[in-house]
Amino acid sequence: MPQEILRFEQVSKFFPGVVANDKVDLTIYKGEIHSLLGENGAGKSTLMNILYGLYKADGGQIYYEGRPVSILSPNDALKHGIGMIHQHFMLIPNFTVWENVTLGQKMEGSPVLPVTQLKQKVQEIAGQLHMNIDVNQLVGELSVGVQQKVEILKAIYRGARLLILDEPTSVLTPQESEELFVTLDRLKGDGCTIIFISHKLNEVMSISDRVSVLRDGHLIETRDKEGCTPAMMTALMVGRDVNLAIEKKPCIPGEVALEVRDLCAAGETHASTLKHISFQVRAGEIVGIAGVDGNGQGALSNAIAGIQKPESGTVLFRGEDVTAENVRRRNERKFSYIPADRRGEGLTLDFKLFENIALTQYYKEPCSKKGLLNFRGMRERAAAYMKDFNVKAPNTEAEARNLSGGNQQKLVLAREILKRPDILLVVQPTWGLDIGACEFVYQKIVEERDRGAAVLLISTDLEEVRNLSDRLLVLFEGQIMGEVDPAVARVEDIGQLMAGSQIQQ
Amino acid sequence: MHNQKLKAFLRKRSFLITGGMALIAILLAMLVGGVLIMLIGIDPILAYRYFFYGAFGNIYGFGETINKFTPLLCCALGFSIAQKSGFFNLGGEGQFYAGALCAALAAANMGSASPIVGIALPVLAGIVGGAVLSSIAGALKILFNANELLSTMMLNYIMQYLIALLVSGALKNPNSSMEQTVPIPDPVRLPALMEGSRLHAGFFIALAALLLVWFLHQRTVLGFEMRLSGMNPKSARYAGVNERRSLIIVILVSGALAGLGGALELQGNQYKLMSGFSNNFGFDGIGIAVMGQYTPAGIFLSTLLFAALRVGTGSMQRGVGVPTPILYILQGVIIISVIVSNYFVRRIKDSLVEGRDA
Amino acid sequence: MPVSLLDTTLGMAVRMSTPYLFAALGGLLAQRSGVYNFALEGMMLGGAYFGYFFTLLTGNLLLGILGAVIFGLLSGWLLAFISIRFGVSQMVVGLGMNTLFMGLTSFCSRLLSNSRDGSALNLDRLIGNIISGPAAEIPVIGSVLCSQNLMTYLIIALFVFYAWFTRRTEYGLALRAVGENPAASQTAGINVFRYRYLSVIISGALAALGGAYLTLTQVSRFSENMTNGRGWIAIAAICLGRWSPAGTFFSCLLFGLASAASNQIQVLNIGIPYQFALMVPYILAILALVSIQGKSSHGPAALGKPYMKNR
Repeated sequence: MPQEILRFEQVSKFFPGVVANDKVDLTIYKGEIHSLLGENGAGKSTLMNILYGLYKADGGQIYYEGRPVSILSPNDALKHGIGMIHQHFMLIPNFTVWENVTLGQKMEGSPVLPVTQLKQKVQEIAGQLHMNIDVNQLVGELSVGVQQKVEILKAIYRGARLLILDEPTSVLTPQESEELFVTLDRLKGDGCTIIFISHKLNEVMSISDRVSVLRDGHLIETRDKEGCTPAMMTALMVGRDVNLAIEKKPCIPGEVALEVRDLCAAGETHASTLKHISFQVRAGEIVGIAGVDGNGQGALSNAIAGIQKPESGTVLFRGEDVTAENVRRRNERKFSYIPADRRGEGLTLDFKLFENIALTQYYKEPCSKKGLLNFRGMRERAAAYMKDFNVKAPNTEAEARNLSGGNQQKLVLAREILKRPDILLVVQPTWGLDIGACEFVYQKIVEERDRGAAVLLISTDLEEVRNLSDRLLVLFEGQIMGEVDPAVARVEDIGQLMAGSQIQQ
Repeated sequence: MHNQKLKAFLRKRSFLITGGMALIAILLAMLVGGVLIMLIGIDPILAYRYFFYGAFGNIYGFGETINKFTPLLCCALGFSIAQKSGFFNLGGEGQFYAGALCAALAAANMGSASPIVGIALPVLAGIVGGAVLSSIAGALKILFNANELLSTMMLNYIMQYLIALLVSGALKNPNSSMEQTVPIPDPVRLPALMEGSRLHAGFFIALAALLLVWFLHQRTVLGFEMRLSGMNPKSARYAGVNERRSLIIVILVSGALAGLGGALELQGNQYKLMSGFSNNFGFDGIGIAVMGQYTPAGIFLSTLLFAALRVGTGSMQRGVGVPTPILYILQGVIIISVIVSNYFVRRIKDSLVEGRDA
Repeated sequence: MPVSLLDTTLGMAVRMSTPYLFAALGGLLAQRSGVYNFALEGMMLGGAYFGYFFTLLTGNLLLGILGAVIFGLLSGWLLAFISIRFGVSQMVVGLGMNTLFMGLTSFCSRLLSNSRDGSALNLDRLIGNIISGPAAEIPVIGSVLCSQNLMTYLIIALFVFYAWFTRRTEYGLALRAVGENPAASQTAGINVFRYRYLSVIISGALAALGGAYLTLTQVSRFSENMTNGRGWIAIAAICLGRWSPAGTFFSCLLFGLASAASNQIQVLNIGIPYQFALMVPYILAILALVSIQGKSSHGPAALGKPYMKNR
């Protein structure tokens, strides 16, 4: 009989207008890897933030090692040996590894930092975990995979025996994920308990001992991994049978619509700076660009949309050089762009829906005339677009902020797709959306391709680009590592390209 | 059920919440002021009676209040339009001086121009003067990315010393022992509007500026771009707004408005330039814009309040000897209370939204 | 330039930089924790008035300084409470407090001058220099290092302490972490709010001390609005010093030198109108803003961004 380490009893949490957790009962055994599976917004992270003392539960009780505990701050959690690795790393880029690891730890006696000792201790623990890390390096200079290791190191340094990992693989290459799983197995071997939050089925199936599924704030079921199939899990997650396999007609590529030649563009880091990229997208095909986030996706989309001037190279729309043209002139060439950050870029949340519908077309009819805005034109267009794309909102006067993620994305899609573009640039289109909204987005993208638009899809979700694309390019450190046929390529091979090495024959 | 109705009602009329909070801020300031007045041994009721009588209770006082309203409104609009596009123009004070200076220079050289031209040209000169000064900070921002908050603030001090220099030197009235310019000639002055008060026609020019700014902001493509780049610069870039152009226009308009205020104050009220000519009009404009929540109606009402505060505190000083700096205590309390109340307004509004998705 | 002139100018430069140093260290501390203190100007003004007022009242300089410090702590708490608890615009709160303190000090100062005749408004004793005798006679070194008072030595010591504290102690590390990434600091078990509150409160005390220096060592009397933008120049000095203690220190000395030069131009009466001379520090501040741009910022990453409890 496995020993219980942690038990949630009837734990609830409400946010204004939302029930994040509704009377959740959950038991975690000592020394197991327990996955929490659920869609975005199912309440996984909220539940764990309660455990870690970042949120206060509105009801229920947590038992730790059999005793009722009240965890009011991360400090309390750490005292019980609970550590958490957040989806967005809680690291300070301007601090060194050892500073990040030891930050906030009370010293014995004097407040003066015993620097040499601390560094030694951090280095020692890194060695025990088989991590090859220089403790004097600034965290901002490390790759994402290594930063994650620093996070794990930080938790272990603080004496964590129960580790919570929130979507840890979303920023990793398949290989880095494998490495992470090895580390987690090692920690499990040392007697640590691990709670693993994910919405990716294959990972959950490969690593966990038991799986709990959450949906809409409810704990649906906890099961041993043995005897589960991915299909069963999906059905539990979504509450119905889903078929995410995308049905596409065969691709009939036409003329070259979008071409990038020898493009160099600055990114925030060396890795995200584009280095002499060239590729073409033809009318009627979807070209996917896979790659881990931070490898030049931002610089590439900005350079194609005209938001950022490239350092050298050319961008061509239907054979014409548009490199010197600004955003508006490119939009006028039947180019549409659906950016990754829909809340911060694709929409202005404080604007009303009809204003957001006009965001990229406000300067011309019907949105305005001779420099004056035409509210009637904007409202009529907004109403028509929202009806067409089934955007759920009270009316055209609502603020974009009050829409759900799925409806926000539908709004952006409606605006950009109903323009009937020749060239469609789509970045990270389903990030944070539930499965129903994903299906809608996929369907619209494929429709555009079948209509004859050239679609460039940039996404860090490997499943997504593999399923949607007709051709697949892999981006690593600002370079195209290679092209594969998504219908036949193996995940391992794409993963190798994503990690920067050529496919071994 | 009743609660639901109230919520729906307030959702549609959220200005009631903001207005209620503003009222609380005013009452709080009056309370703090009253306690202070009591502490120095003066009857607060009597003092406030003088306050209201001075600001509204007679034709003359009302005219004075409106005469303060005019420059204050211009400064508030100048700060507000820049702030809404994300440019912190703390230089209203300096731009006000620049406007007054240019208007004074133009007015002195009007000679025998026709009345309309004689009044209009100095006003235009004031507008240009304010715009020139704000464009210095703007150029430093655009070319060197210099923090406009500090640069506009430094330009305020520089401008004050420049005025002090000029009125004691090159522009000094040779027939006066005071350090001030020669009064501008009669034909250049804005006409008075009402018997028994000094109310002048600048009021209508300021009101026209308010309407124009509102129209520009809400009804034109240019205004759409200004609002967009203020609210969300990243989204503005995505939408193809020419940010630099939009920013330059905003900076020029912002300075021009403060400059207009300076010209109107000179031509309508004081007629001559001296150190202390502005007496904090530029800074008051910031407080007004904050209190008015950057909306036309809000700015109109808060300008009225701040103008009344100026005239009323002056009357308290003359009537019962309350030192005039109490004006800034009241203003400070109001600004701080209003900004704190914004927090509560946001929370109340959040609680009114129903069925909001996470 | 004759040695004696250089001598007096440099000595004066250090004296005139002392208020900047106090205010800038206060501003730096608050900004390190992630909060802008735009009320430095008003806090200095308050410190100048209350330092003066309590000295006049008690005849004791130490009590006067204590009065200034208490005012500074209270005003710092007010700024902290409003900007941290409510997460509102730090700029507007700062401006509001500047207005409030300008009104408060002028109000009180007028009451005071109504109640006493002119000669009774001057302090009869100021904070004096502590090193005298032969050491103070050495050219340049004597005037720069020796003919200074305790407050100047105090602020130099505080700068050294600040540099050591933020680099070498666990609390200093936490302070910087809070300004860089409050969410990460909180998950690391640091009480973000405590650090921010304390920093801003102490920041107020430092700014008030800088103001008190003006009335208690330089002019012996309060006049309305006498800080004249020194608080704003201190903020410019922080930017110019790129948020490092050493950089901020030397930027303040530079502004002190500019103020001294401005003073000397007025005293020497060399044909330049004094109003021009008075512009010098402000022009220098603008040049400083221009000179630092284009390089990457070294300001704390979370500076000016409110951090709210979300529970």
